[in-house]
Amino acid sequence: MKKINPITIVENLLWVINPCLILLSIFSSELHLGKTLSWLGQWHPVILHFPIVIGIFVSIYLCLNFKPTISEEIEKYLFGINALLASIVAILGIFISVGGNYDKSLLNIHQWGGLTISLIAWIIVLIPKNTFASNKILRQLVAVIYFLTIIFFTHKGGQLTHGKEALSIPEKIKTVTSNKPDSLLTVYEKAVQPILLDKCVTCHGGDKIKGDLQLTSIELIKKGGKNKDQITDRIHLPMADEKHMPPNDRKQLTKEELAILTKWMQLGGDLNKALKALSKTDSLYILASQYIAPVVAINKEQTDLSPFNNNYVSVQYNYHGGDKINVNFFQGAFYKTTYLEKLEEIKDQIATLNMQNIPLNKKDIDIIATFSNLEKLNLNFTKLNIQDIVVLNTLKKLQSISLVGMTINNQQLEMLLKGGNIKKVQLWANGLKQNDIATVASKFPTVQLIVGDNLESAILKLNKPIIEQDSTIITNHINVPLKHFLKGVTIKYTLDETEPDSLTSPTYTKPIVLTTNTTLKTRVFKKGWIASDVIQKSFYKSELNPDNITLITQPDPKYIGSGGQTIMDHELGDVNFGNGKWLGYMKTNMEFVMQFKNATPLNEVIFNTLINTGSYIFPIQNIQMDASEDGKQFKQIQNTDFTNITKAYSKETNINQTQAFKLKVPKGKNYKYYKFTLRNLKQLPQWHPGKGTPAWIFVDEVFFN
Amino acid sequence: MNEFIEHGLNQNRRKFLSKLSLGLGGMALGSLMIPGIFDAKNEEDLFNNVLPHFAPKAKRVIYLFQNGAPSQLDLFDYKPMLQQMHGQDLPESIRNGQRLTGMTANQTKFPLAGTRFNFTQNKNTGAYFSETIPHIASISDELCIIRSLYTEAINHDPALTFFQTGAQVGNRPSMGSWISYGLGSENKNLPAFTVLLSKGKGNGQGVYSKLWSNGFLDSIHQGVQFSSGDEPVKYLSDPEFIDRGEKRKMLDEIADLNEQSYKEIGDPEIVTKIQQYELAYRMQMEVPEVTSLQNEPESIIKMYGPECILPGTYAANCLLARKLSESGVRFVQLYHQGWDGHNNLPDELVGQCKDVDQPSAALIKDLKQRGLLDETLVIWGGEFGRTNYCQGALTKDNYGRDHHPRCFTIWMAGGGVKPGVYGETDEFGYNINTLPVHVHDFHATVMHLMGVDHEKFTFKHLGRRYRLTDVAGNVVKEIIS
Repeated sequence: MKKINPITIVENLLWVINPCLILLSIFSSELHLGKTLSWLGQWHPVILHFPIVIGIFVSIYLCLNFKPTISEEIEKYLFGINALLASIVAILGIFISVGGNYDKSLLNIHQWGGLTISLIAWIIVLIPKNTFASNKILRQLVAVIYFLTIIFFTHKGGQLTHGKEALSIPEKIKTVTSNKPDSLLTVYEKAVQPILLDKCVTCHGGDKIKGDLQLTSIELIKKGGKNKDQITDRIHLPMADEKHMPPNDRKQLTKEELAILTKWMQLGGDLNKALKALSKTDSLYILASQYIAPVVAINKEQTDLSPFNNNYVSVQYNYHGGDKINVNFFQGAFYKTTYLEKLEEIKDQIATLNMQNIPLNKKDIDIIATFSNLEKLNLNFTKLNIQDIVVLNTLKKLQSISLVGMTINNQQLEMLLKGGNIKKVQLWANGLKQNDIATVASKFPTVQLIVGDNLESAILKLNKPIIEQDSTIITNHINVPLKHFLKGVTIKYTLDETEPDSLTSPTYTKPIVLTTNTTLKTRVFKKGWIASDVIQKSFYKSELNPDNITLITQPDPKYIGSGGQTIMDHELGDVNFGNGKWLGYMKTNMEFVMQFKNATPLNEVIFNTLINTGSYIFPIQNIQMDASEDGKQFKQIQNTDFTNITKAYSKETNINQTQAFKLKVPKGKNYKYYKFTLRNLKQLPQWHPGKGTPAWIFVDEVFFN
Repeated sequence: MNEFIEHGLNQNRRKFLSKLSLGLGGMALGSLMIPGIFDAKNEEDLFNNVLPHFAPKAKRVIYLFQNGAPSQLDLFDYKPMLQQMHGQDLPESIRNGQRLTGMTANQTKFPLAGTRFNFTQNKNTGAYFSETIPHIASISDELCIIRSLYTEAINHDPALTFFQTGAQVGNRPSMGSWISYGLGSENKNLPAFTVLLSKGKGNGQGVYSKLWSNGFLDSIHQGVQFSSGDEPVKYLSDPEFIDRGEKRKMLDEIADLNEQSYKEIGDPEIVTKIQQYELAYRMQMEVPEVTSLQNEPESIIKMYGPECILPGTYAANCLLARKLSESGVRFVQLYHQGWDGHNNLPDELVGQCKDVDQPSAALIKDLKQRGLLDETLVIWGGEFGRTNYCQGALTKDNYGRDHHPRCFTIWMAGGGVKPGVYGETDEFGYNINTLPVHVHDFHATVMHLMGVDHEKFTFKHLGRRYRLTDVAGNVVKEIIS
């Protein structure tokens, strides 16, 4: 059998493959590929490097015309394999292009370029050896064209996969987000670009270019789309028009956005026009300055943080799509070092760490010292010592550290500050003296030391103690607990109507037991504070309970309480006279009869009343007491004037308080019936707004002893 | 997805997936019942799973609500013109026929009332402060004062509801509920949204629990009220003789029963209930620690004023607010009643300021000295302002002021706001001259500071999507640092 020369196979293959390639190139847009061919297409980026390298070698070889030339046989192999590989790669390239979503214009250039390269390589094979050998100029011309074709068109391919920026010098226009303040922004950066990014570039930018409109550079924006359509032509069309942009099923431009784009294009689409260069009344200025760039949801993969969270540790991203992580620890009683150790995996992302009130030790700090990107750390009340945390000066990103309540000395604090870049330190309640702080401040002028108000030595007035006994009526005895919320106070009290003082008055230790009518006065003292005001409360003995009560004069219909029972139900009404626990009289005196089953000796009767001059309620003027054995024939046994109490009230004393009136009963005969007449002030004094009219009296309870 | 199918099944994707007990079988079943249930990009997911939308300036909010509407003219918005024209009638050119409340609309005269108080000015920011609030004035370098806020409501309840929920009718979620829904709690042992109430001696207006309602959001987002007294959170402590172990057992059993009925009925509120029991169980440990104010160092007590150890006072609530906030509560809402000065305003104002001035300032200073101010937004303000003319009898140093929604002042501090003064009212303090800020704008701005785009943060209810800012609101960028 005749041996077939492999080079002949190669040359014949080229006759098959290249026409195929030409056909495929022409009809590439009509292609539908199966799985296998699509898979083959994936090999394009792998194999393409061979024909490029060989092709460049071939062009150099042809150009320089080495002496002595390599053998004809080897030369044939070189050219043949070069051409074959180039064609194969071109076909694979067509395969890969069909499935992918690429920049169309780039792809076109690359595709036809690939075909050109393949054809030139084929031509090199076809040109007879003699022609090349004799015609040096032709050879060099082919070599140069081949070289340039390879370089130019394969670079286009590189841009397709690696982006247009591949191997190009960065341009100015590519800023996507800006953190600059408004005053430094251009109109384009402030409003136009965000609108385009939000509503347009998904179709008209980057890899996809519909309608030949590209919005990624200013030239392309101005160039417009096919038929030279400008953006502003299409966006103003009505929704019903099929040329309306954005397409009906996409997010539409708002009125403001429409206006911004239009006005900006009218201005000539100036990329560098600063926002502040516009006049404040310019509509573009107003629109653009009020425009807030929409938030683009970033679908960036974030680590699932749930494994790091538990009931006592919260680990969260600063925001969706961000890298930075915030960590907060809660409830020191449940703290475990393992919670902190667990964060190892994400330690480079932790930006803030709050360990306030967590009992930490040196070991925990060593872990924290590995959180290399930590910016803010809170160690308030962590029971640490400053020397434990000096290692944190290795954290170069740490800007703010809070050390409240930590025992601190100057030298160690300076060591902490020396190494790092700390800008802010909270330190108070940690025993540092004023001049220590001043020293540190002078050595580190860029560090802000926040030392708090340090009010330990400020002198304030204590608030009053609390009498924790609602009732004021003593039947047999009553317990009166006193309370104050501040730690370390001394509660002093008196039971003899004198003012309590810090020396002689008894100190409260346990609830006070009262058995007789008493006025309790109490106040609190504490070193470094002004003593509180005195608070007082009167307790009344009520030994005897009458069996019946009859009101002779009726109270004013507005203040009838629950009738006569109101004043013997052992319930006091507070300073609110409208609460139904008071009997109120104005037009008449208050007259009532108390009945006991058996003749009962009375020693003292106490009337609890209200005084509120602003509401026309004045003290009782006079109390008359009559007695009877049968409830019919009464005989006066006591008559006491209280008119002098009223004199203490004037315009300035706007008072609302309860007051007790005591009536001493002269010793003598015992009776079953006692009648009381309580007289009100018949004419309000001259200074009062209601001068001349009668005053009210209010009674909520009567006690018999 | 078809709304009817969704409703009929009483499910949506989120709720369905939260039925973890059903596991994968349930998911497979779900995709059979509602095709596309798992692949649909539910709009709520799209919007809300991406929170915060951008880097937040503030992580937490403390809102010191001055209920009843404090008089901006006697506190922050100094108008010498009113003092000059004290007693003269409000020029009609200023009022321009704008509506008034029923309380003063029938007055024949509208005598201007100049403030009784002296004002001082901060030279750096230009802000004015009346002599009644020396402590707040002392921290004025921290304050962002907005003098040009305005609202649409003219009476307390709608105005208050508007401020809290973004709508005048009370069926929407409160601001804190939105934040709780969007950002969740930092500390799993405390609710994300808590409420503290206190009362001053001035003329008061009611606060109702609808103000911290979750509206149409899950009830887990409702504000939890902390009250004064031995039990800060009602019904939180265990009955006598029940220890924590027993309680745990009991909760597990109840959760079992609840899960069973959830499988039967599918009401998502049952899941919420289980979550609430669990939260309450964890709160039992955390709450006593947070609410015990007695362990605060003496310098702190002196800072807030001695009243701060008396539970139920505004001062105590400010201190408590700091403790809750530093423990990871996203939104602490305070209300202080008593600012409704229709009559006898100057005297009442002095009393209210005495309650509020020192603790408000102390809160700012305290947060700052703990390194927390830069991540906590503090807001101080009422539901509207008060009129420049007098309600009732006007004397040299006594007057009353009616409701005035057309301009009023609030201030903010910390959490990414720029100290300074924003907006300006006219020389009568009646209308806004420059840079008006609507309540919706205020909401949008607070949301923005929390890293939330108010336009993208929605909840679908009754066939439409709702936002805190409804269909309005612009971020006031100029006050953001």
